[in-house]
Parts: sequence; C-alpha cells; structure tokens
Amino acid sequence: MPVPESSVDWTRRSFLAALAAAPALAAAEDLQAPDPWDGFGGFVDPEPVGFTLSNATVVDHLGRVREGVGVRVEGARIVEVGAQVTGGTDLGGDWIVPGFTDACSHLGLFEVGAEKDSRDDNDTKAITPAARAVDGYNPLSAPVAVARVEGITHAVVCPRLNRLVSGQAALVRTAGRTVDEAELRSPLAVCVSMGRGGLGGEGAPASRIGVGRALRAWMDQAPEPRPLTPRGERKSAGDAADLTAADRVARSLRERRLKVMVAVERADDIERALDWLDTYDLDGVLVGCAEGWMVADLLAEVSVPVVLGPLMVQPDSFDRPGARYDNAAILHRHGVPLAFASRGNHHARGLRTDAGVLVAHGLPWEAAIAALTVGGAEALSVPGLGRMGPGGRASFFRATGDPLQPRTRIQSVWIGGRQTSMRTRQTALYERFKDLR
Amino acid sequence: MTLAMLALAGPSLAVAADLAVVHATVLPISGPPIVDGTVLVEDGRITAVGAGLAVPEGTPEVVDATGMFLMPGIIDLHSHMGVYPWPHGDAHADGNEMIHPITPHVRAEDGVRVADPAFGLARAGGVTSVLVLPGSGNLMGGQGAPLKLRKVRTLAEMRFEAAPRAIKMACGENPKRVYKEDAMGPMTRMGNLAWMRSSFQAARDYRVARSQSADPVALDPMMETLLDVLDGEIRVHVHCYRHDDIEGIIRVMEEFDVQVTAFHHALEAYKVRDLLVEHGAGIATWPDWWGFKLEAYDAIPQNMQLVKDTGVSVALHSDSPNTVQRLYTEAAKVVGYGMSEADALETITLDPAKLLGVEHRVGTIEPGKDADLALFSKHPLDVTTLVQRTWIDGELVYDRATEGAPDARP
Repeated sequence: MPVPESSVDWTRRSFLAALAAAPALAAAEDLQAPDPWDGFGGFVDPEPVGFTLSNATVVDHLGRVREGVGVRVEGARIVEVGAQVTGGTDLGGDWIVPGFTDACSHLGLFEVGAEKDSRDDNDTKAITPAARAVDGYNPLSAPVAVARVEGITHAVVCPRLNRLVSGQAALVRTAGRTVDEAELRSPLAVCVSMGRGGLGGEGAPASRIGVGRALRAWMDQAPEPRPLTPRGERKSAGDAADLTAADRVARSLRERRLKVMVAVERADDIERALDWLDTYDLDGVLVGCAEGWMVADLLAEVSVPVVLGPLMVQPDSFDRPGARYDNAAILHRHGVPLAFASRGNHHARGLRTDAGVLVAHGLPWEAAIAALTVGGAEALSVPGLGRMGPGGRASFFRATGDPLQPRTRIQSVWIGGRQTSMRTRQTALYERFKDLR
Repeated sequence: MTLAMLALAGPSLAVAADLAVVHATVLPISGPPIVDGTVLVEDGRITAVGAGLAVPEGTPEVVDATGMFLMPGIIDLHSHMGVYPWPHGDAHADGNEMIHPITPHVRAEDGVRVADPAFGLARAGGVTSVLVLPGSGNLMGGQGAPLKLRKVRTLAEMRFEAAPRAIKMACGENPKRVYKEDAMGPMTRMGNLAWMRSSFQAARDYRVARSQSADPVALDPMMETLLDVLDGEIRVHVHCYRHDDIEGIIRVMEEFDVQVTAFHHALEAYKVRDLLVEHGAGIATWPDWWGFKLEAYDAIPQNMQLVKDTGVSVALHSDSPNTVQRLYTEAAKVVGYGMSEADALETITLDPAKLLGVEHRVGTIEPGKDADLALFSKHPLDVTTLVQRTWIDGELVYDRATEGAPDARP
C-alpha cells in the first residue's frame, strides 16, 4: 500500500539550516585557505530558495522532449513548466532532466570494495529481516557524490543481496550532511535473494531446495495478518510487545504494508519467486531477472515491476545462461514495468550510459528515461519522484544534451529545490594533479 | 591521409578485390574521417582506401554501408577470455598459477578454452584482437597470448603470429594478498619489489653459471624466460595501480635495464605521467572504474586524457569479458571527460596496437594492413550504435543480419 506523501517528512529538521550556516563562519576566518566545507554534505543551498530556469530543453518522465521551455521552482517543488516561463537563468538550450533513481544500490554502505573494514552492507545471519540498510548508510561516503554529479539524485539503498533475507532497504537522496537529511523513507522494502545468490550467512541453505524451504518456513511462521478495519486500517490489541522486530517485519509483509524486493536471475527462479509472492499474497518487486525475457508473459500477467541492472546481460554462469542485451526491450514490449539499478556503489554513476546501451538493443529511448526517472519510485510506490511538472519535486539536473549519451556532461544537480555541489573526491584529485607540481 | 593512400585513390587502381565496403563513413584513425568512403580488401589485406573509389569488376562481395561507419577492428590489450571461460566455475579458473609468486614460464595460451562463448560476444562488439593475459595473483604471472578472434577451432589458428611475446607482471595488493599467509611471501609492497629484484638477479646468476660451468647446466624454463625479459625479447606488461607502485616498478626495472611496455590498470598514472614519458611506457586502463580496492580509490575519469596528452600510448582495456563487448562506448565516456574524439578512438585501435607491437599490421585502415574491420550502424561513439559486421583478415566473423545477437548456446 502506498504511503501517503504527506507522511514523508521531506523537508526534515530546521536545525539543519543552522548547521549549514557553519561553513560560512569557518571560511570567513581565512579567505585564502582551502574551504574544508566546500561541497561538504552535498547541498549548496541550505534551504530551497526558489529559482527560474529558461530556454531549456526539458525532458519529462515519459521521455517527451520540449525545446525553449522554462522551469519555475518555489521551495522544494516545481510550480510551472512551459514556454511561457521566462527570465531567471537562460540555459541556452541545455537540457533539464528529472533526477535519476538507482533502484537497487549499495551506495553509502561501503567505501572500498575489497576493504572489509570499510564495508557495512550486511549482517551475519542468513535471515535478518530487522537489519536496516540505513544503519550502514554514510551520506558522506565518496561514491555518493560521484553518483550525484552524474545525475543520480535518489537511491534505493539495499543491504548486499547475498543473504536469503538481507534486511530493509531505504530510499535516500544523494545529498545531505546527516543520515537524517539524506534519508527519505526506511523501511522501504525487505530484500530477499533466491537462486544461488542468497546462499551466504550463518544458517544459509546449501541449494535452491533449501531456499524454497526456508522462505516458506519464514512466512509460515510469521504472525497472521490482522483483519482490516472498515477504514482500511490494521489494528489489534496490544500484541506488538510480544512480537520480535523480525516478526513485525514479516507481518508487515503479509499485510502488504511493506514491499519485498526479490533478487532472481534464472527463469525458473523467477517462476518460483512469483509463486512465493502469490502463495503469501506479498507485494513484490523483482530485482535482476537476467532471464526475464524467457518468462516475460508470466511477469506481464501479474504486472510485477522488474528492477534491472542494465548491463547484467552476460550469459556467463549457470545462474543466467540465457542472459541477453534485449531482455529489457522484450520485457518492455510485454508491458512489464521497468526500473534500472547499479546493484553496486562506485559504478552507480554509469547508470545513465548503461541505460543508453539498452536503447541500442531495442529499448525505446523514452522507456529508458522512464525507467531511470520514475521507474524506481513507481516500483516501490514512492509518489512525487522523477516527474517534471507542476507539483513535482524539484529534483533534476542540467546537462549538455541527451543524458544517455556518454559524451554528455552533467553541469548542475538540484535535489528538492536545492542546488548541490559538483565537487567530489575525484574532482579534488583532478584539481590537485591536472598540472604536475 | 598517407601518401600511399592518396596514390591508390587515383585511377590506376588495384585490379582485383575479394571484398569491397562502399559508401561508408570510414574512420581510418590514421587520418580524418572519409565521407562516402570505399575500402577494398584482397587476400586478407586492405588494398585501397578513399572517397568514392571504383570497385574492381568481379569483386565477389560488395557491402553497401550507406549511413554506416567503418573503423579498424577494436583491440583489447587486457583480456582473460579463454582462461576464465564461461560458464564461470571452479573448473574453469585457468588464469592464475598461484603456486609461487614467480611463474614467468607459464603461458596463457596453454589455458585458453578456444570455445569460450565470450569470444563470440566480443566479435559482435567489433573486437578483432586481444592480448589474453594470466591473472595478477603472481608477481610474474606468465606469458600473454596475443590472439585474433578468428572463428576457428584451434588455438594455433587464433594466434596473432605477428605479435611479439608478452609477459604479465604484477605488483601492489594482489600478489601480497595471495602470498601473505605463505612463509615465502611477499606480504608487503617491500616484498613485492624484493622478489622482483632477486628473480632478475637469479636469472643473471643463472646465465653466468650456464656459461661458465664446465658441466652441462639443466635448462630452467623459468630462468630462460627471465633472461628473454632481460634481453628485451619479451614485452613487459605490469599490472600496477598506484603512482608509487609505478615509480617503484620503474626503479627496479631500470636497475636491470628492462623496458616496461605498458602499465595496466594504472589508475594513478596521472600523478606520475612525467615518469611514464621518461621511461617510455604506455598505459592500459579503464575510463571510470574505481573504488573496488584501496589501490583503485584515487582513480579519476580524466586519467586517460591527462596521460594521453603527454604523448605516450594509452590503451582503453576491458579486463572483462563483459566490457570488451562495448569498448567503443567506453571510449565515448572518455570524450565526456574531455578527450578529443580522434584521441578516444585511438585508445581502442592504434594505441593498443602499438603496445601489442603490431601497429604495422592493425589499428588503422590503411593499404597494406590486415583487413580487420568493424562496421557500425551509427558513429561508434554514439551509445545507441551497434556493430553490424566484423571482419578479421578479410573474413566475415560476425554478421548481425544473419546471426542476430550472439549468445552462449553452442
């Protein structure tokens, strides 16, 4: 069930504005010294200030492209888009594109892949429904900014999908000085892995046979869904204290108050995932689906959204011998809702060009834009993200051209009406070494 | 355009051809794009290149490439295709002989599975030549296999015979991680370089012993290989990320008068690009990979451009059976980070050809060179392009129209 937008605290705490004033004070002491606060925390504007951009080429979430259009922003929202909007900053034809959402990401959960002491991306046991990705999320992690400057404004941050039940995903924006400022919703969904991808952690099953048994047992042992009241609420007297955190998560799944993201690759695993979702009446999203094209009809029939790693199309293992580049194009033709995901961290910045490769393989450009802008938000029932019209969140970026083309440069990124910094750890290194000295 | 090309563009044309590609926008790499270009091929070699050339009568295969782009076959200087073939499995791990940090005598070609389906997908990405290397677990991991991706059944037919020998060495995190539990080490960067020095010194001592001993000295394949390295008969390719590792390898190699051909991965090369110029080494690297290990944390996407601007060769490599299929899109990323289109195209053609030692045979579209060609539906730096046909030595090895997208099926 979608959470009403009003229940999401988009603007967060006002004390953040006070925090954001600190950089100016620090810098004032020595104007010559490098400013340690420059770009720190991502947001340049401490508060949404309102602004107008004109003479832009504006793309909406359906991939419609309009030239000579202006965008007016008040507070955190877009209030007007159209040729009638003039004044403000003349973009000279540059593109304005809704921010992209990495719909299954490990951004912020680790700094360096091979350094285990920098990894905070999963728990120890095979089934940990109460583990929260947001507990490992570092908003100042270098890869977060590197993704943001390539147009990734939001991410569904998932615990690493190498557990049967690895825990709760969170929706974050890719700027924010504090976890509180970055976090938009947690829990957003519970992450499950089928196939052989989820055979890690203490007490993990040894094969698909064990995966099926363990996932059924998990749901069979979950507290029964509480009856719906006439007003559509779930109420029962004072039982919450008797339930463990894990039980409450399992009950939320069975009451369809929380989504489940199921990672699967092979066709038979997809079939089993759909069967498990159906058996327990769960509100599911599938992640991966490298062989989805083989069962596109089954996916279309139940209209389960699919979150794809665009380039996880390699027939390189026994888990996806039928993987193909045109998987996304075929799923789209069948009407399966698509979202795109890095399923990683440092390479999240490549999501836009990875999506472009799928256009070469038959996915309509408009569908690729939709998957990047609203795909993740719609799959996970988050309203208001990725849209380029009045009332939409003012989260978008300015680019020199088609954002799916690698040669296109992203020039500015706004999130929730606030301009963000284009400085990253990498731009700092470039500045340091562009001249040898 | 070279004088030879201009001469051949005149009326006294080659009298026969067995393949002609006509009406293409030719990206010869050796010069500016040729609009409405014709490329003639005979006996596996390019015989003529120019705008609107006449096709000799009786040419059996004439390809109308109107609206399409023809470029030299793409070259990947760092591949593990064949030595880690698909499907992945323990039994398919044939790329790292991690029994000892120094194994210069093992050969990648002895581990290549010719039927690896990844070769087919690479051909569909316009790739015609690769250097298959052993992995980086060892300091001296073994000899590379320069291959052409011909559609054949035997390794012998895949060999790129014109290519000089190549050896893979490594430093930094991988060797010290692999051997840190082992009493012999190495377990530090100090150990890495000490092992390299002592190995080269052992080879020198072996040479002295062999020449001075009254009794016959048994031939040691490991030492013989190291002597070939010391004698400059094998090109040295070093897996090396950090700038201080690059400096350290140059230090050791110069102590033994060894020339490094290319530093591979080289994500911090931009910090010491002057040292590369001094030593005369190129690099082979990715445009935007970073952060997967600590020695990749300081990578920046301008690395390729900063190094290329010094004049040394910069090869865009894949190190991946996945990325190798889209090296042209990887090159487009580099354009996004500031490199010119012409330079970016060189990083997947001429520069890797130079570092592989085969620039006289491949890497550009010029008369006399091997007819290794890739025909694209759109400009190769447009992300929505697709390779339509790939030729190696004038033989059609991939045709999207008849084969569709390749897959892993037999």
